[in-house]
Amino acid sequence: MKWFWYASPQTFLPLAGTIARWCALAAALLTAAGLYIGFVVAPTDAQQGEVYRIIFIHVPAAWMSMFLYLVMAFWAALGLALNTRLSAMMAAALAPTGALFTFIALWTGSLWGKPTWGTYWVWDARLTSELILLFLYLGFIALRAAIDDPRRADRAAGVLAIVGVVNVPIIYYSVQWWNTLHQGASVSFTRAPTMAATMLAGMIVMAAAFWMYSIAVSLFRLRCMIRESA
Amino acid sequence: MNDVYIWGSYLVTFALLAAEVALLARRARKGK
Amino acid sequence: MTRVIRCLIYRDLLVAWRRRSDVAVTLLFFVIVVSLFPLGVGPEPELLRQIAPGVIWVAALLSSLLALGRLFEADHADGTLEQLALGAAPLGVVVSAKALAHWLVSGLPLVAIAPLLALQYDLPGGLYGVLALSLLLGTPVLSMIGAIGAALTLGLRGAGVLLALLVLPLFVPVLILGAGAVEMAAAGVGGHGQLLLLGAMLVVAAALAPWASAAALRISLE
Repeated sequence: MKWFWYASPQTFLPLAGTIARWCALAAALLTAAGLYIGFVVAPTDAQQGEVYRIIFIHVPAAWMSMFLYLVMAFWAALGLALNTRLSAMMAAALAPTGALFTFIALWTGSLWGKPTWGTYWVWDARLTSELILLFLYLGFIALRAAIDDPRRADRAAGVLAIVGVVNVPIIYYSVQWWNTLHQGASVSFTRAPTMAATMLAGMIVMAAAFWMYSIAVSLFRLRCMIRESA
Repeated sequence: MNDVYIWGSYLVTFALLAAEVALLARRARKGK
Repeated sequence: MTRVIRCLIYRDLLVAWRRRSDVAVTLLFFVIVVSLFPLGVGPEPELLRQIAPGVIWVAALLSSLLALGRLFEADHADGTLEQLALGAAPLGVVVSAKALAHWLVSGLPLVAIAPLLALQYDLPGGLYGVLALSLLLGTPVLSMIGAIGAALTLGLRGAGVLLALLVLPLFVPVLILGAGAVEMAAAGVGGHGQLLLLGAMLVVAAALAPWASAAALRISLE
């Protein structure tokens, strides 16, 4: 069973390095391609002008923030179920990157909101849920940091990640409900005009770039953690 | 005028990503 | 099984009664926080009526948070918690009993006092029932979800603040639904939707949270 062979941190170390390097290269290439599409190929938007180009960072970052949380919870659950140290370490390695993308999503969203909605922040369902997601990431990181015993840290944070993942849809729907009941959807981010193919392509390429970046950076971090724990 | 928002978004994003990589590189060097 | 639960609840209530001041302090915190907001935002009646549900609910959240520190602390300090974990009763049942006793002591009083505090905000008459009901359904959920956080942070340095960071994001849906129920009732639409959802949350939390708390306790106790 090849998987369990690589469950040993020391065995995985070189493989992690190889994967990380290839993904870093892919990330660089995809970023270049994405930025090219975003700034050279994609046309000026009829309503928003140039500022809509923030979408090429904002949406991929938001996608990453949610995706990485799911992956983190997956590895945490695996670590709890199979009692493998490496799985828990992988979850811990993903957390800072996930938190970073969540922040980037919030930051770019805010800067996009100011020229288009007139305000840096609204209590839109998505923004609020994204903000809480950031708190969930930070809680995970803080809990790990507060526990000295690595075994307890792994498993406690693992439980927290799983409880968080169960809560994310609840948080999202409750906030959405809260928002639509109170604000007559005057601001609707979802009502984006049918996107030009180039805009969509740019978003997807940048999302792939961020994904490759996340894998590279997380594996790089994992390598550091493996070396430090040896 | 809106350029400041575009610059602010892209610059901060790539600065943060670069900082993450730099911090990791430093961590790796300290480990060795 | 029911004997075990009754024993545990009785014991926890007895311990809480012997430390009445702890309970009273949490309650007093609730009262003070609710009283602080008008001092901060100004006495304008219309504004206060509007923010009343939210303020009372946030204060309830914070009081619950404060009280959570006490849930496992005393038993952990004198070794009782380990005995309970090693004992014959399933840890999930033990945690449920403790959470229930905890709620009776720190959550239920909030439900009772909240309408009185709502008077300070001149909340319209028909809303007191909804407010009390929303708190009645919501505070047990807070206790049960909070128990997970309390179990995870058991014995850690800085546990109090860390608990807040961990647990407040998880409290958000309860807050939104609880305050929302009263606000919808105030708008004339009726808070039934929110109250039903709160009830559903209560059922799901009662079913799942003890399991997570027990797992967290085992991790913390090793």
